[in-house]
Amino acid sequence: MKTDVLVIGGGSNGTGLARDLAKRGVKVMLCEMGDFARGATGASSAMIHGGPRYLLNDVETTKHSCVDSGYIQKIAQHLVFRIPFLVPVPKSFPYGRASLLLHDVYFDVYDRYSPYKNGIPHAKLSVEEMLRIEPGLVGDFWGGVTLDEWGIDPGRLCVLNAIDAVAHGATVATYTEVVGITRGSNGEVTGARVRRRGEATVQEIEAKVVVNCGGPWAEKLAGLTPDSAKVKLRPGKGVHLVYEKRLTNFAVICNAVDGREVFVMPYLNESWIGTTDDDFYGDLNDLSATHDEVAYLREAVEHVLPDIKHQRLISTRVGVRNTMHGWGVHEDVLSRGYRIIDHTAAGTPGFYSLVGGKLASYRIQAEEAADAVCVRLGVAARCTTHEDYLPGGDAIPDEVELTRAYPIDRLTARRLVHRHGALASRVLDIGRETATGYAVVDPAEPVLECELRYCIRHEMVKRLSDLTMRCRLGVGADQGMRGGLRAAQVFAEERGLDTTSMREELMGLLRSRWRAARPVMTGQQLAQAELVMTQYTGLWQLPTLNPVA
Amino acid sequence: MFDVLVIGGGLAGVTAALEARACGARVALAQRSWGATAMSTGALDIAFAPGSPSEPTVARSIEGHIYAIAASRARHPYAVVGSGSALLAIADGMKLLSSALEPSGLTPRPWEAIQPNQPYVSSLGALVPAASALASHGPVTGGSVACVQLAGDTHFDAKHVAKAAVHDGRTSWGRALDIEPVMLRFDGSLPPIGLAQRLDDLGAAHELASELKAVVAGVSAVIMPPVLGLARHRETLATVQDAVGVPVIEALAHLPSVPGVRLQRALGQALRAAGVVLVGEVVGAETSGERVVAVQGKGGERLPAKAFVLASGRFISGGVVFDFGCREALFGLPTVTELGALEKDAPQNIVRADPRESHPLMTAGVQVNASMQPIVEGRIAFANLFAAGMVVGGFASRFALCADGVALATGVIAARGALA
Repeated sequence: MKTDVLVIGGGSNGTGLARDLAKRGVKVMLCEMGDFARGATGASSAMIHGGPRYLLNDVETTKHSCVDSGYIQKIAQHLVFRIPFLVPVPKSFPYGRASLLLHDVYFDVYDRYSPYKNGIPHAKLSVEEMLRIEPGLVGDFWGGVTLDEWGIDPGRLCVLNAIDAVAHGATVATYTEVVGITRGSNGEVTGARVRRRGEATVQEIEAKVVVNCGGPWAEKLAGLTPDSAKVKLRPGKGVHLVYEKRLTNFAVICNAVDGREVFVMPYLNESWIGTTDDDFYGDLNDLSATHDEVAYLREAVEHVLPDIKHQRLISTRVGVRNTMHGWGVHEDVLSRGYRIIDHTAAGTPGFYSLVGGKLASYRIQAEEAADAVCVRLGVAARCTTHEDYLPGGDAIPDEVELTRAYPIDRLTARRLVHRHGALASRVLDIGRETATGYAVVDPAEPVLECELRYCIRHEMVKRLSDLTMRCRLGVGADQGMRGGLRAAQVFAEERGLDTTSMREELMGLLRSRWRAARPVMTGQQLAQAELVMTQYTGLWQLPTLNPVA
Repeated sequence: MFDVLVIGGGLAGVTAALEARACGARVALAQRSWGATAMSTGALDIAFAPGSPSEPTVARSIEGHIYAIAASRARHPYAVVGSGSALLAIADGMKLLSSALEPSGLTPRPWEAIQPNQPYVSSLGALVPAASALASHGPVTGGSVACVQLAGDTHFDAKHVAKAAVHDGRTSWGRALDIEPVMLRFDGSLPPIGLAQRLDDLGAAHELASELKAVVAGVSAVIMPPVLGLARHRETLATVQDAVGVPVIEALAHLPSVPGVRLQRALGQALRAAGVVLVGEVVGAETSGERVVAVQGKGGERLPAKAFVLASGRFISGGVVFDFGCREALFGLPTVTELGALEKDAPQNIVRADPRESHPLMTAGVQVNASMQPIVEGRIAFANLFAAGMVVGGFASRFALCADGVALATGVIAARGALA
């Protein structure tokens, strides 16, 4: 296979870059070793925020994020939603009564960046006003400050970027791992060797330029060329805890035992507590939250919102940040900035690495990388990704109209519009094909049968478990118990799978949900795990345990 | 003052209560809510030890499976009481259960220890082994079988169920089965419990039966989704059966399970018919030295008895709880797994990364002696306390398909111990 540019990595940087280049008319191919957003992007806090935290050490990052956040809100308006934040100022804060004033001034500065991201200016709240917003808060406070940020579905953001790239001529291959970089006689990049998951043979891809968007794997990928010293990351492991329900009205910033800021945040129908940030040098392909990380996060939030102790903790989201390296500084102070490294000087012309960065500025990061690539290729076309809508982003259909035109309820309509925007009616039209097209397959979200079929047909789904990132299949408290079987049947129908393959797909989905829930399998969630195992794995594994000689 | 107070109203607790009543004792039973028994598939799992490629197990007798389980799993209740005693107690328990379920029309199919497990169709789409099952479920023996799909039913997809059953018949059972899906117009778009309640109306049952009769001519049996009535299951099943004129078999159910709800209701009726006093939830225990004196009801009432049977289940039913430390819920007894004593562990250490593996935590429960008395640090916890069912540790049904056999055996043995 032959292409101009090979992009490695299906996170926000990689898919964003593939889209940018494809829209400029460049022949581009993207290889991702798993599914989209399986690394840092998918495990992120799912916010396109300016990060007021970075104002202290990294003003450029704040501004960049805010500006690009504004663009993302325009091109993917259906995918973003406002998340109001509350920052309670405790009396234990070191500056006494002036603490509240200090916060007020601090966020005055942040407000200057707000217009870029359509933000509402912050408000200073008295204790009474704050408790009216969050009656569950316990503790001594001077008052609080609000600010607002934007949430986004990071998995779908990557999928939509990839789909748009393909629509403009790109080739996208998931479950395809780059195992080698090929170089010419002068060290210049000539392409890569790739291997598809489950296959032994290695394929050669010819490319004039290779861009490493490997996120936390970037260092390893750069190691495929002789100049690995050029890419140095300081990977930070980040853990979020996922609760079954929305527990607060606002996202609330709390202080952990070590003084770090931890938040509890409503996300769609869930709440998340996050995050940890600890240097990580373990196996990137085998991530799991530890008992200590779970306890640390719970404690941080439970001391100001004690009712959360009794709420159902259902799973975890674990990832590793692709933070650039800094020596002798605390994890939190490390820059979230980014760099586009041209490896020419190091002896591999045509090889680039896009390292660091934030989800909020993925688009501008991709644009700058695409600019560098275009200079090398002599392409003059300009970037248009800040103006052109992502698929479905051009209009927001009316939910009520959808409930009249199709046999669905308001909540389902809202979620469909959130995920598919203007394409929601295309999704719903598929429901007419089968008698159960509008049946709710996974009631936790809810996910309709027709949405599964749409995603399987049009959104580059290779495995059943990819549907979790497409339409949140299996993320509810039952971890796929109710929806998994039917989804596997639909997947098998769409793909013409036999019984054995269908069972493997279902097991793959259950295994991915199991891995996420395992660190918090206590209390009710353990009973749920016992149920899932009894229902599925008990019955489904018997054929393999009981072969006829 | 009761002779025996049973804690838990699932299969193990009810078996213990009925056995104690059969011996003439004054019996009370405390139940918080429905637990795992109400989620039963409809099969009665007694023993099925997985084989290896060199040793197929579908032809092995149930007795042989019990011996195999006891020989390979030292902490399994069958090993603790001994295979011979387990087998006798299961047989006694089955007799109790059969007569208890007779009025509800759920009387289990007869089983023989010397016979192998039989293949049953599951609504998940699999052909699974079971020793016996409630009346409406039957093994698939051969002939031309129709698998029925109701319109809009998303819980039972006849195409997939038939395809998977034929697949498993060939690969696991060495049988060439002829199972074809058949589509009905009868509306099945309700959830299973709602659909079963709708079919309690015999008018609806007749409507289903007449449509069925027209489309299944010439078959030797009919497989139905497990929704043929709830409260009036016996009549609904008979209506459909009479119209079709060949055996009508309900598939084993996944959740939510209509057969489980039927079984749990029938067990409740059996308790009342047998004169067992139902006392609601218990929340605490009063002990004195080596004896349990009384348990405390939720309303604060004191419930004394001469002996107690703990049949409160495992995690699903709440008899065992785990929150970074695992204990039995009512008496705070320590727990063991099939690997031994359970320390304070994080889930990652005792739950494996792949759900198909054997997870030590999933076998957690109290340690017992051959009389089903809970053991703590090598000594009997309380002289008059006995345990039955899933609250007993050291086993998981998943790798031995033994949950009902263990409930029956330990229920009978615990009741006898309590009256000794």
